[in-house]
Amino acid sequence: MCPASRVGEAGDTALSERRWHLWDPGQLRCFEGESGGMLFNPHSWQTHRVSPLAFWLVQCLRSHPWSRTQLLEQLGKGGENLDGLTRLLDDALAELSRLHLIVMDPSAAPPAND
Amino acid sequence: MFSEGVVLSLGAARVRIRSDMEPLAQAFARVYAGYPLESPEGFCDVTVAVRRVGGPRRWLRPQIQLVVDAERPFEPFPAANHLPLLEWGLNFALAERFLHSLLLHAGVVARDDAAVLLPAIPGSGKSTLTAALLCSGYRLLSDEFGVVDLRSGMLRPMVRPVALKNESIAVISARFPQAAMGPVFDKTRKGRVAHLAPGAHSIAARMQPATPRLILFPQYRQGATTRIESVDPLTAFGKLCVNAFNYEFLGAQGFDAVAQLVRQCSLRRLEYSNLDEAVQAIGQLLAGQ
Repeated sequence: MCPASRVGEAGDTALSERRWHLWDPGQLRCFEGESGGMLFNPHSWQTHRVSPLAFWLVQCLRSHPWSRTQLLEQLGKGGENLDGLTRLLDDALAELSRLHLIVMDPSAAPPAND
Repeated sequence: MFSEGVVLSLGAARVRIRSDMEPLAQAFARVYAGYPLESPEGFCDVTVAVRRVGGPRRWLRPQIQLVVDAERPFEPFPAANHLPLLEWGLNFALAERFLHSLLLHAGVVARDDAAVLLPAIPGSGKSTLTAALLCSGYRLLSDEFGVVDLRSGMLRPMVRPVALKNESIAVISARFPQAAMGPVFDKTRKGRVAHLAPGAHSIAARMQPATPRLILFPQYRQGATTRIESVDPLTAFGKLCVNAFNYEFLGAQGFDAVAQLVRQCSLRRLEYSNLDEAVQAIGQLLAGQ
């Protein structure tokens, strides 16, 4: 199973702390529109239209890797209700992971009790 | 001379054309009138020849074949369809081999330096509208290819005759009696076909790129009232990706070129049935840039 599809599972806090990063931030191409964005994956050479949230995630991850928890905190700063956003965030992470645009950081090992 | 090959500069591309068919030479001379002949020396992007097919069948059903740099990409055509075959062959060869620019399937015209890009699928009225704009004083860059320079983002001309089909021939001939129309070919694979010569001003300016200002997705619909709508940038982006002949080949360069086009142009959808209204609406859009 793709890690992104598991991050929202109850009790899987270890995965929530692992950081996501872009496959290739230097080569990734982005175009932002009002209803989302276009992304060019330099490895697959495919172009994808993604949701506004997925595009926002890519912009966040361009600066440095973020964990799911950190991303939720960032979303919460906008005063949004996190209950509804959690599922959307997980869906967006799963979508970007499926498109091989982001990957979970292998160097950030889960806690020992995982 | 035609049998030895003539070399023309279309602007973005240089082509060599050969044929031993006198009817083709005559038709070619009509729709390519005004092009200066280039030196036969030097590089050509494509070499296209139209040859008679030999054998005993030639007495019953004369046929011709397209040869593109020694390859025969199509099955033989009836000999009577010589110019359409040459034009389709040029389209095929340029689309297949012109890989150093983003190549959109689009009509392109310009007023002064400002270019209007008309990307469209077949049957949308692109060529009819392009012809009407040409006959209304716009400079033709191409009826078939929007050639986007990957470094500058400018549109490079690929000036050739405008291919009109079926009812469009009569529509343009009636509305613009001065239009320099070539011979009509009645029974081609696409129905009736005729070619509109590009005119001296377009040929003279064929080395001058134009700045993309307006991307207009045309759709002819019989009886429709002229209607113009804004197009969302992401929708336009997706349409241009699908419309391009070589978007996937170009990778990141293609993405960057499309992104630049979408950023710098007004994006509109045009539904029309009245050519005059459509031409007037495009003029107003361009004037509002």
